Amino acid sequence: MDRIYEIAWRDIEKITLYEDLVLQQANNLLGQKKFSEAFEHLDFLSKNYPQTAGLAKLRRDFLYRSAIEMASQQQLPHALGVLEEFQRTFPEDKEKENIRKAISSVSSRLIKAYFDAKDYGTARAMILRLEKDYPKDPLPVVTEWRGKFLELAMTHREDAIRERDAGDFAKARKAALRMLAIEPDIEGGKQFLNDLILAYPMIRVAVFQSSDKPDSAALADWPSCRIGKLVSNPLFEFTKTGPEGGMYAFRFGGSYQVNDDRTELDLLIQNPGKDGVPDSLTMSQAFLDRATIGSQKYSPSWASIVDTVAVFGPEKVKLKLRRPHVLPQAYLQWEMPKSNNPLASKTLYRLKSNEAGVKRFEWAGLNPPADYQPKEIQEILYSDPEKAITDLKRGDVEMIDRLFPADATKLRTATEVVVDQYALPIVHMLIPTGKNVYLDDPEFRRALLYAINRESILNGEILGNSDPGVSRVISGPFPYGATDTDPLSYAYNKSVENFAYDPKLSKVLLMLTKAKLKSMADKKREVLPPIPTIRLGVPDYESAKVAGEAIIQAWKLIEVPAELVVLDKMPGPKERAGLDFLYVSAAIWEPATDAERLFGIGGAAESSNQFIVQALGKLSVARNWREVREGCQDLHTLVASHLPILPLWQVSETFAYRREAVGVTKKPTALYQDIKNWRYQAR
Amino acid sequence: MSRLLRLKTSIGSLSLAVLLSSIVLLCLELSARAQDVWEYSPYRVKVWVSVSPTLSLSDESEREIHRQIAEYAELNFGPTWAIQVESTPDALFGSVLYRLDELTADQLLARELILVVGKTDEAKAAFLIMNPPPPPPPEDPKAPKKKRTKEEMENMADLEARAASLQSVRTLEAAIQKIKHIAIHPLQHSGLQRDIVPFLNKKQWVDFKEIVKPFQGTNEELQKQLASGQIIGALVQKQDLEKFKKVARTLPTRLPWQPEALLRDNDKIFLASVDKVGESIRVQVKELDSFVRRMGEIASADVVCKQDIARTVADLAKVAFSPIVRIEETDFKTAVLRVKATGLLTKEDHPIRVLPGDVLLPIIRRDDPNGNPTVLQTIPFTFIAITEKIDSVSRLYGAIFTASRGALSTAKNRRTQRVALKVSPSHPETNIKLGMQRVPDSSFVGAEIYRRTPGSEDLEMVGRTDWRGVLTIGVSDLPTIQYDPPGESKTQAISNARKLAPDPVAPPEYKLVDDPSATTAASPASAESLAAVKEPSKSSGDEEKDESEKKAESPKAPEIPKKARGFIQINVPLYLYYVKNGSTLLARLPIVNGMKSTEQADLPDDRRRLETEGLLKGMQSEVLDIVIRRKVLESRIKQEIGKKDLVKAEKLLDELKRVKSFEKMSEQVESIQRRALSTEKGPLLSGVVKRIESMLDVTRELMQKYLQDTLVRTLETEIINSK
Repeated sequence: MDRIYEIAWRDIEKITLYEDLVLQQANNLLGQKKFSEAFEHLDFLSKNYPQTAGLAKLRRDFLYRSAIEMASQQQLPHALGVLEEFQRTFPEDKEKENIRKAISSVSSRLIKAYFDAKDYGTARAMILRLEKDYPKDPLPVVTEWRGKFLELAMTHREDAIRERDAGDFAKARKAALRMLAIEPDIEGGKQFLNDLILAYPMIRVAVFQSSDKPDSAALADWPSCRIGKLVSNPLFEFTKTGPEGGMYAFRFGGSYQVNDDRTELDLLIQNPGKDGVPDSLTMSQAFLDRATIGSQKYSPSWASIVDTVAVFGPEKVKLKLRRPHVLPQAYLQWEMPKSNNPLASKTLYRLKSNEAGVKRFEWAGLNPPADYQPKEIQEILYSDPEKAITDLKRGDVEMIDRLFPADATKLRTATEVVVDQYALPIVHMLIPTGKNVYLDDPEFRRALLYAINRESILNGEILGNSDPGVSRVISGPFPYGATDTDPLSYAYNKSVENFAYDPKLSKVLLMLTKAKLKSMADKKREVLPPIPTIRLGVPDYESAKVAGEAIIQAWKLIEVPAELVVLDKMPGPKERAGLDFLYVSAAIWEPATDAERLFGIGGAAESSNQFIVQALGKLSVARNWREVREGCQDLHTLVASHLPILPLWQVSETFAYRREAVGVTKKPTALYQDIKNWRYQAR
Repeated sequence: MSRLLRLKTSIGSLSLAVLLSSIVLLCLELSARAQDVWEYSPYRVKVWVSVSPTLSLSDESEREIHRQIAEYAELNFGPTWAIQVESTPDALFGSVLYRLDELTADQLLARELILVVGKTDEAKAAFLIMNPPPPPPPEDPKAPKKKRTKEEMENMADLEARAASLQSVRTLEAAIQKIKHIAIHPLQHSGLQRDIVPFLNKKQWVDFKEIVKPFQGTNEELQKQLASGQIIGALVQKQDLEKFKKVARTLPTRLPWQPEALLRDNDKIFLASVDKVGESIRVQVKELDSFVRRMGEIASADVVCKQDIARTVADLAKVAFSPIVRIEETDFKTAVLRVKATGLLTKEDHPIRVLPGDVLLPIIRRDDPNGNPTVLQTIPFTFIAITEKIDSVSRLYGAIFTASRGALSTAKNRRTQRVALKVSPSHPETNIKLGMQRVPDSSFVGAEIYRRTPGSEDLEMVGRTDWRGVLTIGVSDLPTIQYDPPGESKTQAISNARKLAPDPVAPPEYKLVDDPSATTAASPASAESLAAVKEPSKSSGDEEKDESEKKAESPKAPEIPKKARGFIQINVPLYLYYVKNGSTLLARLPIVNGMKSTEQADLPDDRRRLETEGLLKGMQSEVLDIVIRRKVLESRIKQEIGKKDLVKAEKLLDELKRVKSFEKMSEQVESIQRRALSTEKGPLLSGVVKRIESMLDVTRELMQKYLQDTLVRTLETEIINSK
């Protein structure tokens, strides 16, 4: 209960209000340059005792002194902010001239800092703002920097002209872009850049992985697949998913047709013999070569389905199959063999040079490129995603392939850049590549999988807790698809549950495995070696490295020694010595045939597990989509049970490009899909 | 047997008892003599030579080549060969010259001429006109007239008619006597005219030559004329017999110049082709073993001069020659063998020799009562590796390696003979082709194939069959095989063979090795793992302790008993190939790499079993995970109850309730069972059904043992009691 005291007036000597005490304390603190504490007092008074006498002075003094202090400590952006607030709050202050000078001086230093950091955009934005905010009485800094910017832009223009005249259009473009970045409205600037682009249109792509083996149908080698789409011309090319498997484009087509009972594939060649287009006989020989045992190009999968090849005139090839097959054309994603006619292997671009991390692909089309159509595509290898993003923003590159998902989310806010995602998700997995008693044991592999908190790694580390979209943890080798009704998801067995993160179970499984292996070794009178350090090979790109590091930590937590090995290039099946697991991201968009390419002989995850081998055999003889679906889903079940791979997640990959690049297909399956439509124009 | 029959005829008047005892004695004598004959008789060898007309050799030159071949063969084989060299008969001349590589024993015999006689009423009537019944013998006027009943008269008339009828023609000799005209196609007629010449010193063949006339028409026309009786008999090729089945019947046609007769009269026939290829002369020789009617692999060489032809043919015949061995005794592992003609040898190194290290291909021949082979069976994937000499002349011990245990032992009777030919690989590699039983042209895809050295315990994975069911094996290393000492055989005829031999050779030194049959099989891994799940929540310190305790408690490994084994490096790459599908061994196939280009084996369709095994093994792993989860949660709940933190205990209990239950797992097993045993996709072999059911039972037992309990209820009660 509150108690009330009464005090007589006579006993009161002086009345000091609480707010005055606070004010006094604030002034003391200001005197001691304790600005943050002083601000707390000031803020309290402003909110609770706005009528306090001396509050306005306190605010003025606070702003003035803190601005001086911040400027002296080189906290220029804050200093400028405080100075400008001072000017807005106390426009008629006695120090107004000094304040104006200070604003000009601080902003000048700030602009110089941005300028020195080559952040011309921010510097320029600042000048424009100062120009707008002080229209009647322009600050000296504005005039000063306007002149400097123009002067620098002109220097870049001169550089650009010199490089253009020397024939180095890449450097000329770079200089012209600098010029426009510094002074976008420079007279004739945009036209100058457009002229440069017109003279030598070029697109530079920042990439994080490179390959020397272009293969447009590569399943588990992203850079090979990307470059393959640029410099190879496969007979058939996957374009998108349809209601019944993938949809394919026939390169020499006319058209192609699978008959109703799926036992024949008819190809109609357009203009055989012209511009290097092979005739039916040449094509049929290539088909037979791949079906002939002992041939260098022998493909067992193809040989197992094709029975006879017949030609009807130079235009028509009829392939009869040994048994019905849902997608015979999926086996034809290869290039025609090199012939004497150089036109036969003609692609739009060809490799010009490969130096110092820059792969240059020059135009090689039959006809000259159209206006603004890139004459050159450059792939520039980056190791630092942030640098790539900065360069994209600055115009040093026009595109970035395969952004780190968390970066993609951030980059979407940049106005000069378009961020798009690829049409189909990529499946990430760990492929056991080492050979030892532990890795051969399914229980050990299961223990390793239970130890990985896949949800946390995917959503936290890779996606940066942003909207996962189609990205999700998966339980098998096939993509889940975007939705439950996505046609791509036909192979995914939804009744197979994901392995939940369970480190305790993992540890017990490890213990049991050790006991079991020891007992087996004892029977053979051998000594069981300790668990070796598991070497996980990851390709050199950000999300794989991040995921790999997290997986290593997870395994260490269950006392399985592990280390990360970052790989420059994707090793082939025979180049994996010294690795125990390989982190692989695979484009499994045609499960009906990709399963064999993944687990079959020579596949990225070639499996000798009899159950998997039989399931693949069953799938390969599937005669209709019902059997294909059943075969794929059975395979999924077996993979989840026997773990020839450790499934991780599916991720939707993204890419980004500057808005000057037009004609880029929305949601493509690969970066260079429809590159013939690409144009590059200054905006 | 035929000798016995002749014997029987000559002593027809003896009483049955005397006859039988005589036969028994004679059989024993013959048997003893046959063995003597086997090792002391030379190979009767015929060489047929087809020289291409493009070489423009005169008849004289060809004859000279024949003579020289015989001379060279004499040099190579000495007294062990009784050789005759001649030109290939016309009917086979082209096949031998141009298609020797494809020529088979069946093809050779397919051209054999067989005599057919009409069997229609029209043919019989025409025959009767041609051969009217003989007039009755003139009656003796002095003899009293015998009164015959009507029935007797009818019987006599019937007998006379039958004697005159076409049905009475049952032998070639009868046909020559009674049929005036035997039709034959002109091409075969001209060949026959040439082939018969050496035999015209016999009246039978002179008569035969007279009545055989060319028929200018097709087989269909000949068939019609046989049916209508216009033609009574015809010589047709064996391969065309089926066409004449409706209108004619066959007679045994042993023409002495025909292959069948040649096969009877010779042990080996060598077919030699001499043809011009570019600037050189290609000589090819192939062996046909008459007894087992087996064609060997082709041996080939190119020569430049015609003078080298004879020597090359003889040398290639030496290469193509495979010695024959009689299999006298067998048990499951060992055989006693006798090599032909080795009694005639004086030197150790000779092409007819079969020595320790050689490998033989056993063949079974079963004859009909006439001595014609009815079964000529190469027992699939069966070989005998010669391991030891029994005596210094002809008898050997061999170790049997076979896919079907006892196959050699069961075939044992008087009309069944077991022999073996020496194996000489001639192909660089062999494809193993696996198919499925009862499914023609099928492929067994993805079967795992392992290799083992015969008699040893090593096992190495070779690979997996491809989409054709094929795996190529190219190993050429010669293995050192292991075998049981023959003296340890339970069959006395084997174990005592050396003791009874007149000139025995001492056995080699045996080595003592671990007895592999003494080691026990490991229990299934998952079952073992499940049994090990006891106290999973122990600390790592406890684990270490467990390990040391286990070490201390684990019983000492039992002493593995030793057994004596023989070792010998064999001369051909014979290995045992194990075909596995999942955990099931489907076949064990001894194969000599390079003996054939392809070895085909049809295996039971095991796919459904493997599919089920894959799913059930996955389920067993899931059971293990569930058991561990339950144990971990049980332990944690008990800890919380002990700490009186019942809220936490209840939370953990909820978690335990969410772990997959026995009922759910049972549903999964039911679903797998329905699918595995469904006959929608075709019937299942009973063996496969049995295996599937057994696997299902094992899974159910595991589940019942480790999941079917009242854990949740017990813990619930404990929590309630603690409140």
